[in-house]
Amino acid sequence: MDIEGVKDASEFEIFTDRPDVRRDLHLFAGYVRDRDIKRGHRDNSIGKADARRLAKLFSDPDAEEEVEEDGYASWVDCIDGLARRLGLVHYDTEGTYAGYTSREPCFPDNYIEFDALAYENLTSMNLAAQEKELLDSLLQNNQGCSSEFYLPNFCGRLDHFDSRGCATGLMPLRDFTAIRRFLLDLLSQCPAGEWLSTASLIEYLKKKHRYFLIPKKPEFKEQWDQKRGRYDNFRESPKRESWGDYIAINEIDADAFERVEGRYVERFLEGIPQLLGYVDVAYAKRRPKGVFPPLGFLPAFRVSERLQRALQGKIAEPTLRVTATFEVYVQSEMYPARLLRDLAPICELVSEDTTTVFRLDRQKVAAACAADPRLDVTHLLESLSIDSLPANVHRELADWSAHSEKFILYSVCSLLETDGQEAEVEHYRVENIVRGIDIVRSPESLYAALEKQQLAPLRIKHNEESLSPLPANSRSAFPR
Amino acid sequence: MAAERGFDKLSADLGRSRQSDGSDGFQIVAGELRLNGKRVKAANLAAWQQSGWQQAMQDGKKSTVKDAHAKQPDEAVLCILAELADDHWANTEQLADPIRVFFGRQVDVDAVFEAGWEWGLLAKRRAEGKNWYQLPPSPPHIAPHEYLTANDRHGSATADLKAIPFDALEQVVAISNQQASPARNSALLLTPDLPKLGRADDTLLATEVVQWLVEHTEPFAEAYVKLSERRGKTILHENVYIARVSDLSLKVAIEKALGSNLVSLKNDFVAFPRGLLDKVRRVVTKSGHVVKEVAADGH
Repeated sequence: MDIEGVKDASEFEIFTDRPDVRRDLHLFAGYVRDRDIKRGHRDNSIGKADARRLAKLFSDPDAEEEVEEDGYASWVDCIDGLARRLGLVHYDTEGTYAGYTSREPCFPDNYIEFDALAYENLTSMNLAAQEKELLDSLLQNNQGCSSEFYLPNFCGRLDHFDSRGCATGLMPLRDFTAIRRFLLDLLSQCPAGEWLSTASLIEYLKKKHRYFLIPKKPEFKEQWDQKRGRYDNFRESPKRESWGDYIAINEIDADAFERVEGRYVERFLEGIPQLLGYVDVAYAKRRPKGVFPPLGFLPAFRVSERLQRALQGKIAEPTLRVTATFEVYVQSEMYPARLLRDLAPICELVSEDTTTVFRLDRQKVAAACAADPRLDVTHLLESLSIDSLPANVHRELADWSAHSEKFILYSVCSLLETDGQEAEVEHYRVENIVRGIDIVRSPESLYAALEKQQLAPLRIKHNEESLSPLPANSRSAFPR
Repeated sequence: MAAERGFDKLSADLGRSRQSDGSDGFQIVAGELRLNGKRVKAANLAAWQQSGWQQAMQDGKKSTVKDAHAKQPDEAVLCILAELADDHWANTEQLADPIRVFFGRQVDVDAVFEAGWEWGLLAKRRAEGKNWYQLPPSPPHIAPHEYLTANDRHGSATADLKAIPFDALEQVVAISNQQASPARNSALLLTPDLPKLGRADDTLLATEVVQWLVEHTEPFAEAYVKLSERRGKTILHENVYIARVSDLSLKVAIEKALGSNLVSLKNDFVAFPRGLLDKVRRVVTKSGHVVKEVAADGH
């Protein structure tokens, strides 16, 4: 593919500090799972208290400040919408009209519901399949008036066209999913890791795929729009806020392709590919002067190898190594939600980056074994690790797991003393402590059974915070 | 005399219940004498008398009391008679005006007093061609042999419903099985019920009635001996947590925290009141251990 490189990228402002959409998506799902979140009655937005907590959890450094100033953060809303489109959460988006004179719908008692099954389905997929789900959702979203032409990208800096008339002409019939997919395929054929010229890419498209966005003979929503031409949905203006002072773009203009399709390519690059880490983008240090929206403000881009792997479904599964110092290193190209979920109950998080570091924790291991008697921590780590576990870790894990047996609490049970009487309690026995003392269940029916056996049982309901004294003539280990 | 009138109603009601299976009034269900579906108790019997008196006055009439502060006729009668000096009796003519003041309107005073006497809540005497009333005197102590009879047929003992005091009836019902006497309405046949005897506390077992039954009837005596042999040996403890603590230092720490509220059992098991679980959890966590919970199904 004939796309020119950039000689010196240092003359641009390189942007790579993007929030982690994959990580934040899983954190959002976990947050919703653990809480009841009621959306705003009027605007159906996440309340300020929840938005503040989510902003603190999320990886966008500006989100917290944004919530404090505006009551919401666009990154929180972005993740919220993505989670809903992926089916991980559900809530009403239509609303109801309170009366005949209502101009807008309201959203009474609109709680966000976590879909455990959908989440389990997503996390049980391998990373490549998870990535495909995420990419498909993003590619299908924001068509027509919500496309890159008219709405700013979350991480982007480029201004957009005036959206007046965006629902007319040829715009409603554009399939932006296919357009984006075509561009992503094209980008995946670019040499990875090299800074490439955006102008050269646009030039290449003009030569080889001139009609990738708008067909040669486009269809229009209404017949009468046909005479308005292929570029009637796009208007430049001499400066940012020059209402009514528009510059029309005509098909016969020599630079019409650069001014419309070229602007779209720039805005697409800083959109989905940039958000998912498929490309890095570089901006000119100074915003170009002249017509609005600016053209040529994003002069270079760099394709990551991740793009090709993602499109080919070849994202590697995470790898895990356990060191003799009880540290667990998890290396993963994408956020390894399932692996982290498995490790969270037995480890403390030390650091989170491309390599996430955990430390195995004795008390957590014991607690996890106590909560789930079937859990075999050694087996779990061995199955996830690419190397065998160090011998000392192996030994200690066995010891820590056994630690969970030091205090076993029998909940929802009662205690029966029979002082050697031949009581038939087999059906009710949970565990026999010693001859004549049993841990039992269902005290109500057991008491009836003991009465039926004519054992004249005593039923002692102890006080909440102290033991009730027993009758003087009773034979018991309890105080009289 | 007054109490006997109340028991007339009881035995009459019990007689009727043989023909009906509703839950109102007296019934014998599963070997137990019940009033309005519940085991007979002295306090409920007093309330039953009072409501019976009220019912008798309302039968066939609509309540037309306008003054919300006005007393019911039976309440008015009891208030007025409570003010009489000891050994003084009053006739209905003397009390008509005060009752009208209390009740707020004219009332058939003779019918009210007669119903009160019928239900055992008033004492009556006839003199000088008039009926004289006062509150019934405190019932004298009646020895068990006056209302209990040992049997060798049909049951262990018979209770005379016309003579048995309310307290004694409650005690008898609490420790025995009852059935209506086939011979007469006003008698209950009693047989010992070991589960009920097991549930009885020491105070109940020591009452004159229970002791009389034990001393004068063989089945009750046998049941009592059996109870004495078994009582206090089978104990079901509820509202406690049981735990196995297999770490000695942890066990010592819990003992120190709970003091006398921890019972050490064999094989590393302990028991403690449910309300102290948070305290125990804190000790366990502080000692670097964790709590493993086993549910009632053993998992």
